[in-house]
Amino acid sequence: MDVLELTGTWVDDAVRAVLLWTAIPSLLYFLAIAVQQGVLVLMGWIDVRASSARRDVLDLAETATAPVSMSLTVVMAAYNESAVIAESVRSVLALDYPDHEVVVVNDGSTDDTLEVLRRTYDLVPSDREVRPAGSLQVRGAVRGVLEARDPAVPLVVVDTENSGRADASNAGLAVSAKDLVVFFDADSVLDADALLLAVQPFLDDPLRVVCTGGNIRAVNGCRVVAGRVVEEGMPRPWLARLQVVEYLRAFSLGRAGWSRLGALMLVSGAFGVYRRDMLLEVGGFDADTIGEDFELTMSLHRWCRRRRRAYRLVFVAEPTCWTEVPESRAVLRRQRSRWHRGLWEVLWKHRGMLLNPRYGRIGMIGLPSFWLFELMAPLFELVGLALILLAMAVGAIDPVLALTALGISLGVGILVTVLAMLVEEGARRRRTTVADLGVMVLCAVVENLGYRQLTAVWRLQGWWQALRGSTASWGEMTRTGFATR
Amino acid sequence: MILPWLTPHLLVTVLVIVWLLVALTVAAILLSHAARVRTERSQHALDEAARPLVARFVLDDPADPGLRATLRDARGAFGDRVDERLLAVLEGITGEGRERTVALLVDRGHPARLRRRARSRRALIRAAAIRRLGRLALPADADLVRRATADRAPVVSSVAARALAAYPGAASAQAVLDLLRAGASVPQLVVVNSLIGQGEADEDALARIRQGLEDPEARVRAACAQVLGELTSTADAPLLGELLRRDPTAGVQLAAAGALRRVGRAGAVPALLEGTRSAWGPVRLQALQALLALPREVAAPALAEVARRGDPLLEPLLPRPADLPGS
Repeated sequence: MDVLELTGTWVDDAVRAVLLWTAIPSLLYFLAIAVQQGVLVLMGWIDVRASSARRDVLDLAETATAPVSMSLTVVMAAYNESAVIAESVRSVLALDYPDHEVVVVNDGSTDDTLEVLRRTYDLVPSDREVRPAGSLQVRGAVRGVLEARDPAVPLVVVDTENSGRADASNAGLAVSAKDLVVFFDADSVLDADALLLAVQPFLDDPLRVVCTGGNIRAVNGCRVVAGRVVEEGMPRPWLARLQVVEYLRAFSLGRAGWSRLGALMLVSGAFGVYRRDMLLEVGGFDADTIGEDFELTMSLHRWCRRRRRAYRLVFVAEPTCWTEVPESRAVLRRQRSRWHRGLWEVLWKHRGMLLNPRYGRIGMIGLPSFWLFELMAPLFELVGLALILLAMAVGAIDPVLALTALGISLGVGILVTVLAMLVEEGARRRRTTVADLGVMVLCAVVENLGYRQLTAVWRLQGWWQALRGSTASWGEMTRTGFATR
Repeated sequence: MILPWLTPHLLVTVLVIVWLLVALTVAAILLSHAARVRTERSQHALDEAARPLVARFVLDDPADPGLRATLRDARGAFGDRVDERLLAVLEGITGEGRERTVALLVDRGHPARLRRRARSRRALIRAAAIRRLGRLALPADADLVRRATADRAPVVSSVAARALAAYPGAASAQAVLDLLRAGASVPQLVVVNSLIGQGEADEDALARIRQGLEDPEARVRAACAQVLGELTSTADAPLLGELLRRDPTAGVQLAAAGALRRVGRAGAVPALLEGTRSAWGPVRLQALQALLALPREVAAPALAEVARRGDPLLEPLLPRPADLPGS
């Protein structure tokens, strides 16, 4: 079938030549992705099951009151978060944890974030100082350090000139004085027991565990009361619904699987718990990188591997952080291109670790996989799709064969997502309705028919921005505030 | 043909298999969800019926004989919920109310059922049975619970370690320490809490925990140090100080420093000062926090020395020089 009647022309020859050279690599690439996904599904399933069994054993009420714990500072970098900051801080202060303080860094907000905090928590000047130590540096000028007048409220607010999220987090780290540090976004909410669950690996193995990451889910569509998710639900906008499914797949299978393989590559900046001494050793976040959370994770790996330290980075499936996902295409586009740009920057910065046996599984498995299946994926996906369509158009391949191959690819994508849903259902963490499950299954199908391709384009834009070296900035997002949900 | 073996037949077969797997997974999700919802609804309804009866039985003094008979004779799914509610209240009551509740559970034949379930092939059923036996704390089950610490499933051995807090004594403390010695994957918190409970309740258990400080296994030494710190037995401060100075394992040093933070005395200052020089950040932090927990006049020279060293990890925690006595 030659719909464009190009048979015998130079276009036909060119397409056939490209197909000849790319057919086997493409097939191998597809098989490699399928095998990787299969391994991650299996490992993720094992990890989530182990995590659920552990939760059965742990009595969290006992944990909350037991004297055996590690003290913890929650650092929240805030830029123009006046809509949500008071509620967010309140919910973090009220978390079940025997010894924790909250440090909010107002990163030169142009709205009244600081005023809201001052009014709500009756802030007064504090004796605490921002003291960068070790390799840690803070670039933003500190305008003041405040604390709640009531000593029973363990809240410290650092007011700085605007210097970016990573630098603001470093300022929070510099003022923190507890064993562990949690970085947390102001637009997010944590489950009440999230901290207790997230610190368990540290209690079991206090010297080897350097960092733990929790589960992240979309808060859109959920009912939030007093800073807690009291009712789970699917958001109405389809863009947000598709992200719910994406997050589910990324965390339930991706992170859990990598963690089980001993090669956790990324601890999300939205909810990660770190040993403070390790953060000071690696100098905290790199303020020049957009993907600062990914960069920090890689720095921890590099630091520990270079010194031959026995260490572990652990994903804990049980503690959950709920974060607001973009509901508009423009914001989502900015977010995805920023993420991909960050990915490119970090992978390039740490290119010396790639396929370097000195870095063990990180260098030999994790990084090659990220280069091939994360960084290059949008390029391969879009080029492959274009090539298949072109080949069909010039009659270089049998349309039935091509559509069958596309059907397999679509089916594998959907299968991975529904397996993630099955794992979640088995772990009994979500309180979903049948209707929500139906919507999620539908999303698993729909996301492959346009959404994935669209995000691939945005990710390529991020790649382009990285190559051009555009300047980094906070990813601004319109907040709706939890109370309105 | 570029890939001659890639026949339409092969592709269609793969396509059918993949989509069949998708359909089966979706069906499994829906079935699992339906089963969960059904179980939860049924349990909720039965709990609603059982809860007021159990509350009345526990709170009434003396108990209504008619009510006792109703609860004793409850069978089937409702009977299971009655057992669950009775076991749940055991966590929060003591004295005569507890004895009455345990007696009712014995009359209902619940311990015998639990002992049978403790031999189940499924680890989660064994774990649930051991957990409940621990709540009942009948002396006759002490050996059974102790043996369960050697269960091949970590979830069962963990639950058994926790349950042994109800059977304090040298043998129970030993069983928990053996579990650590065997390298079992038991949450540290469970082990430590069990030993704390036992050490508080029984002198022999405490003596066994003290002996554990000299155990060849580092995990055991660390757990025992941590427990002694929680039991605030200042008599153990010299031993813990010695452990901090001499133990070759960083994990044990960390536990010893953490314990000294609670039970530290002036005599521990040299060991703590040495701890602030450790190559391991967490050990240095704990040692400094232990120094800070001592009266300022006792720790001032040591704190001044730490400040002179300019350790970036410790600096944010140090008091200002002006706040130290004698400055």
